[in-house]
Amino acid sequence: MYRIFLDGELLFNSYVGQGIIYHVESANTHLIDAFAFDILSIIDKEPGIECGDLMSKLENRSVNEKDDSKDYLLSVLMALQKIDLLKLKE
Amino acid sequence: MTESIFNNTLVVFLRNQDRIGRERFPLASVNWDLLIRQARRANLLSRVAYFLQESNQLVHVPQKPRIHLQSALTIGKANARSVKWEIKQIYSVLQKAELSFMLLKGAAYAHSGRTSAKGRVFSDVDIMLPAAKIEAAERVFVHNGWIPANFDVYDQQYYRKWMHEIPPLRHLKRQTNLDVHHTIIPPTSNLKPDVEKLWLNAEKIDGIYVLSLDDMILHSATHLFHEGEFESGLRDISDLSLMLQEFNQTDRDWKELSERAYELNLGIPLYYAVHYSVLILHTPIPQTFVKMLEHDNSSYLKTKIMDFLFMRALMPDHISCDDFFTGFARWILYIRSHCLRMPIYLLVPHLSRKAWMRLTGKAMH
Amino acid sequence: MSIQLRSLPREEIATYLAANGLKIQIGLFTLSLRSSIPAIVEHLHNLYGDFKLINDPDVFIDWYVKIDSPSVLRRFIRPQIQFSFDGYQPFEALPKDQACAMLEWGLNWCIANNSNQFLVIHSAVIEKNGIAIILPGTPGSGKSTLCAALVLRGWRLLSDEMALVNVEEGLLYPVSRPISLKNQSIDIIKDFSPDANFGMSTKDTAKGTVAHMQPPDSSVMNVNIPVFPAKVVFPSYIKGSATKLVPLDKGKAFMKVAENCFNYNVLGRVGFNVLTKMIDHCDSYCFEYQYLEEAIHTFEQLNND
Repeated sequence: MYRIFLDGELLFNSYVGQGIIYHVESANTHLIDAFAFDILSIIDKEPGIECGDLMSKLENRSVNEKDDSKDYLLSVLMALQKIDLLKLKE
Repeated sequence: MTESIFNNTLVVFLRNQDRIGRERFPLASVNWDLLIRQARRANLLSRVAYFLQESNQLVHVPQKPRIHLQSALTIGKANARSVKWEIKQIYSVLQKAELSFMLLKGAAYAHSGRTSAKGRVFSDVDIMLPAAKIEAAERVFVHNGWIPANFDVYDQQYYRKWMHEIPPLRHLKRQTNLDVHHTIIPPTSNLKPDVEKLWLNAEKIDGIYVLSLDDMILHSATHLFHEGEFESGLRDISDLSLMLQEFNQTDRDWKELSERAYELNLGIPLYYAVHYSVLILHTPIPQTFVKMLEHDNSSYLKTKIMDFLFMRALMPDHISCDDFFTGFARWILYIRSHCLRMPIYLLVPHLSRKAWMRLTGKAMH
Repeated sequence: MSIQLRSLPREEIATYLAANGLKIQIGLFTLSLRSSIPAIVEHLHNLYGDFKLINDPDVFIDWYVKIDSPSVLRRFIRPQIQFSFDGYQPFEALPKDQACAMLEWGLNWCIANNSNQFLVIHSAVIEKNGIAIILPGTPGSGKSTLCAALVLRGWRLLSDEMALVNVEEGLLYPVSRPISLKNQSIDIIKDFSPDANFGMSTKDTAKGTVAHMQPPDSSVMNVNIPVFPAKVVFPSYIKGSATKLVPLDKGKAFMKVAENCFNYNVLGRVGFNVLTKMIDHCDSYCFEYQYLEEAIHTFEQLNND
């Protein structure tokens, strides 16, 4: 089971349907969709959250049917990890 | 007239860096126009700003110069952040390939929290690996987004064949420069410090090696006094002065430093570093130690000649710090450093090619 | 009491330039300029007439700048000029006839690289009735042409090259200077407004033919009046295009502006915060146009919103 953390300090700014994330350590700025933004916001409030818990929290928020699948969630988590915003620890 | 260029506004400020705003060095006595201009040319504006901020005096600087200093402080902070991230990326790719490495120069100061990291502007990251691992490292870097910084065939040959190094690399996405070495000075030079000894005394911080403080001082001294690039001459003296003061605070015997220098055949650079640090920045080093180094590594005549040249070359590269001989002094030392780094049969073609590049405007600044 | 540059005869301008420097106020910045090139004297007299000179020797000078031959040799053989910022040369030397263009590029460089009290956006900035519009400029956007036309129709020029957003207050600070135009834009604007005052055209620069248009005196007079940004408009000059103003979502607007900043990364989190506040408060648009009159009409409507 993975526990998920933010990889360093992030600054958040949300807009309708999307959000801007600023990664302080690298000074990189990212434009991401609302789903990914929600994921990061939840992890920010609950660092070390497990994948299953994250998914149930997201079920309440997302509107896209596709967003419900665990595979899709994992692919988004991997993508966020690739751009240094998240780290997954066992 | 000559006296005033050696007591210019910037060096006077640096000498008084730990008593800014106090009775002996009130802010009102500072000529901000000259300080900022000299510091900018000497690559020391961020450091000056850091010192002012640390002594809580930045807020008291008059508005217009304060804006320049705050701007430089922002750049200093951006540099510190950027070098830290760059080190992390380098560590990440080399660690996967199980390659240990050492940071050198500015990146090493930043990683080990040395005072000489303060307000430093980092143009490249320099790392060192054992000679046998260099090729493997080059493969890792090329595989992970780094490319050769320039494609000039002559320059590539120069690095590989004569300097025994891989040419400088550049990360495509981050636009950052990386120099990979296997020794601290070019192997064609007349000084040949034993690299093994450097590794033996190295410290490991968060998985990355750095030189010991003593060896950092010696490396910085050798780089400055044997490699002839004086654009950052005063900045390098400032780095040395800060590190020598750190050494002072360890309460160790100064003789340990000179013994290490002799062990590595770097006595002469240490002598110059100490001599000029005291002369220019009034670094508090025991006179007995300075005199001993002078006795062992120089002569009266040689000291006088080198003072004439180095004192001028180490002043800020600004019109207010030049006298009639400054240009000449820099030129002579430039030639000297090349003689020290390369045998004569390499030197002439190399220098004439450099001159040709400058004349036709093709040289990279 | 400060005097305007136009009150000095050419000979006196030349004397100051050749000696200790001509000291000029440019927005918030103070400049000391040295040069021995006659074209520079003409350029200043023609296009910088409304600018204030600095008489007070105690005023702190921000930029010490020189534009001159790089060497005695190069004064005569394939004459070149070099821009230097207090001894440092950011560019390679250029042919002597590009002196005026080089001066303007050099001043842009000084401001863009040394002004971290601002978020510096590569863009034009204009203002009317308190509504300030930032026009970020990718090459080919036609921002300079559009900027020049609007300014000739009564909009205040804050800058043709750089928006300076103060990081503490979020206000835009003007630095009105001659507007730089290239190639066809020069003729387009000359046709659009035959009374517009232009300096010499310089041919064969890296950007083609370049000329500079004098900023309106009212813009220069009001250079001390900052204003909050209200709108961000990304212009695109497209031949055959109908005039189209399309709202741009804030996320994309943020990223596009960040890409057009000189120092967004240097500012770190401060840059993020300043840009966030700016995008939050501004309406952002993409704008396609071909005809200047229609473009101006659209901007007047934007102003009335």
